[in-house]
Amino acid sequence: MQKKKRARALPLCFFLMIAALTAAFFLLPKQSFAENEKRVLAEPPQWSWRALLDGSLTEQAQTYIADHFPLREAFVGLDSYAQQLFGRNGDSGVYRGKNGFLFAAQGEVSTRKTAENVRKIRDFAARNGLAATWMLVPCSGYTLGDCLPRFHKTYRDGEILDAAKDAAEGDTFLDVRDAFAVPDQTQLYYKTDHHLTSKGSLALYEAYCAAEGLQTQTFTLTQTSDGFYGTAYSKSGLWLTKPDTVELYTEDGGDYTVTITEGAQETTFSSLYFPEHLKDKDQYPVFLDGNHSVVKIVNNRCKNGKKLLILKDSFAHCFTTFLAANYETILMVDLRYCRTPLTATIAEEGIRDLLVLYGAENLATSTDIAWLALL
Amino acid sequence: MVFSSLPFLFFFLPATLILYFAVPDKAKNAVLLVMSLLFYGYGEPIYILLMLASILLNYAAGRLLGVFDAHEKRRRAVLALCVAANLLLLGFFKYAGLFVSTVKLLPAFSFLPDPQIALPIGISFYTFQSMSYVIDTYRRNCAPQKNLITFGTYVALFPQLIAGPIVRYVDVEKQLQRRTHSWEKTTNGVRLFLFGLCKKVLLANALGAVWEQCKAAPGENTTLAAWVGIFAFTFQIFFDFSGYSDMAVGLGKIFGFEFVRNFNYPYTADSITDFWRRWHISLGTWFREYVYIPLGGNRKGRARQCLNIFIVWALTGIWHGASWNFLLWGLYFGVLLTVEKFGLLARLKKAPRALAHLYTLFFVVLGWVIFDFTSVGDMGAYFVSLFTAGNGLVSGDALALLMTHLPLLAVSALFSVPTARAAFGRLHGRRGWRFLEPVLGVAAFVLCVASLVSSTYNPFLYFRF
Repeated sequence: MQKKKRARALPLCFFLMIAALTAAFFLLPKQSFAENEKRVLAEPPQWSWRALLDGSLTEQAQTYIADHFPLREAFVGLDSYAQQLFGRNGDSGVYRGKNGFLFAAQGEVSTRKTAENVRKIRDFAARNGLAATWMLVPCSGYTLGDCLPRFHKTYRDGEILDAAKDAAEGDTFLDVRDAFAVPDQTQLYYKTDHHLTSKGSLALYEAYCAAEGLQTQTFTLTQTSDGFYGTAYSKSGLWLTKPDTVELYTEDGGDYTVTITEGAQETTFSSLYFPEHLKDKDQYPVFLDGNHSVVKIVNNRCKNGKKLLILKDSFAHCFTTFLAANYETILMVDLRYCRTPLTATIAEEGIRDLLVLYGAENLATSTDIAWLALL
Repeated sequence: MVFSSLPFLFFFLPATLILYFAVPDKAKNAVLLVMSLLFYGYGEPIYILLMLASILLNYAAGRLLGVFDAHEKRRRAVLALCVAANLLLLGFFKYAGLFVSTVKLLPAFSFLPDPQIALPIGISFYTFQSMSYVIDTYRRNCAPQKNLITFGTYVALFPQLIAGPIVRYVDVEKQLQRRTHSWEKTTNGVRLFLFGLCKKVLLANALGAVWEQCKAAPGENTTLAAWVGIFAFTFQIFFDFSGYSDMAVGLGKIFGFEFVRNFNYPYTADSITDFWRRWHISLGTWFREYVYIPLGGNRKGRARQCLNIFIVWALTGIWHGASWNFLLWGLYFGVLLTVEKFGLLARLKKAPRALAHLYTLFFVVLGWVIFDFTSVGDMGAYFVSLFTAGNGLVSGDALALLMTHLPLLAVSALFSVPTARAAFGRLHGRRGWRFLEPVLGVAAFVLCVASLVSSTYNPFLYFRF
């Protein structure tokens, strides 16, 4: 009797585990949106004979099961920590660094593609009579090498910046490496996100003002928000990582009109900040409401006639909340989304200056910049 | 469907277990057949028809062999027709694409359209299984199976359907009629299944990611990266394949079957001859029984034996996939085995053990380069990076690749030799193990599930709201 029981323990535990998880799958309420993944989760499979025969039904079922598996994020976290325990730091696409930093690993980048993208933007600038200034932000892994784990893939932002600098010869190229070289205690990047902190953006703003001969304005820290979990956090699955703090620096008496254009729809706001996002895990959209195709910022107190076009990715969002103080009008365009012609708008507004502000890796890999030829 | 997937583990497996053990013994084969067809149809619903056709064809051939019991000529004709039909099915669905694309290299045939045929999963396995039945029935090693459901169960049986082992009909003939189920068998089965699942999910998948990095740009690896990569693949293919075989044998046990062992620590072999007695044993057995020996084996002189070896290894190679590099890989082993047969093997026996193992591992590992590059150009580039330092000997990236996967490679090495398994074996009698084993088993299973769930975790970082 004793022996028989002994023999059963392993299969019974195994079958019970399966039964429990299967039951949980059917009984637990389903979520429709995954905040960490920022995507809508799969709908239940739609039955049809056709879907059955072409195999798409089982594919749908598979995705549905995966998306709604019980304790999904807990399992993801367990796997991530198991990988860390096994020394596989970086296999998930994120390195766990020192001092609570998470660093996104770098994908394939090529200097050839970088130079090509720079040329495309220069063609566009020349066509529209714009004087271009360049700022490419190296990634946190490149800048904060001291905080990286000992063994990691080389970050190639230096090569990208050099290639872009060469290709942009004749334009003002503001080497962000110099701006960030100051050895102090400033935290330039978020620990759980790839973006620059407000202090990092402020350093960038000061460097830009110095290069362009602008008067830096004064900003006061008016609000801080804890509990910001950024993209590197979401990707890492290392759920026990401490969150970041978002700081809002505002200009005293700032008065702005922000017009966000998405396709044919225009919406107007009276602030550069969108504090409703401070309730989310990802709080970075607090600056200018995150990714949009075209954003126009009018500084109602500024009548200096200075107008600027910014071709950018999200690294510009926080930065522009500072820069807006110095320009009457800023037109911010995101080529990942913008497919509407720009030439007419540039002429209408009388814009003569262009700032290109990208994360270095994004510029080096972007395929959307090719659209400029048509805009 | 594959075993290492959430739909299998949490839907198909429990449903099948419940149905199988709920019905009386008489109906168990029918349950297995129906579930096996569903299992097969999960990925490619249309090919269920192909599977049914294959079952019917071989069933009919078996019955005819029984009917024509006294007519040798007719029996031979039935056998020839049936084998030809099986090979034709396999040839059409697996090799038509390769054939046409090769013929197209001749300018006169360049107009031919590419046949767009998706490879039916497991066709190489179940065709070989069916042929073993027909040939052994012809040889009167077994009686024709009169029950279509029983025969269908043999061909479609889901545990070994997709990736083997290639179970010969004679080995399971009795089990198909009558088999016993016990908690002891189930325990052994679950243990083996979990072991295989861990090999596949925790080791092979992670090793595969390392290999992918080195394989992506075969001409750009430093020497160190190239060796790390090919060793990662060496372990990956072993754990992938033997893990799958373990899961198959384990599942078989739960359903009362005893399948043959498919891998016996192949990387501990001390000669290539020995390696092939330990690697994918069921395939080697099949080719020996149904090709090598019928061709005359080693009974017709040395020249003929050589030829036979090369025929068998050309076929073994191309069986692995419809691409010429597999043929090359097979012939590569044909050459090594011939060299061993005619002298080297005797010398290896006298050589120091370490040297014999090193020699074997060296050629097996290099063989995997041929195995996994379909393009000869890429294959050549990879060999160059293995043996020259054209891209440098070591780079920071290569060192990072090695160091972040050193524990993984070390554990892989440990589970490639009998040591780890033997250690588990010694624990069996110990007090406390009966509590510890289920705990470890569940923990391992949870880790596997975590890894499977994690592979579907897919943050979409530029999502727009």
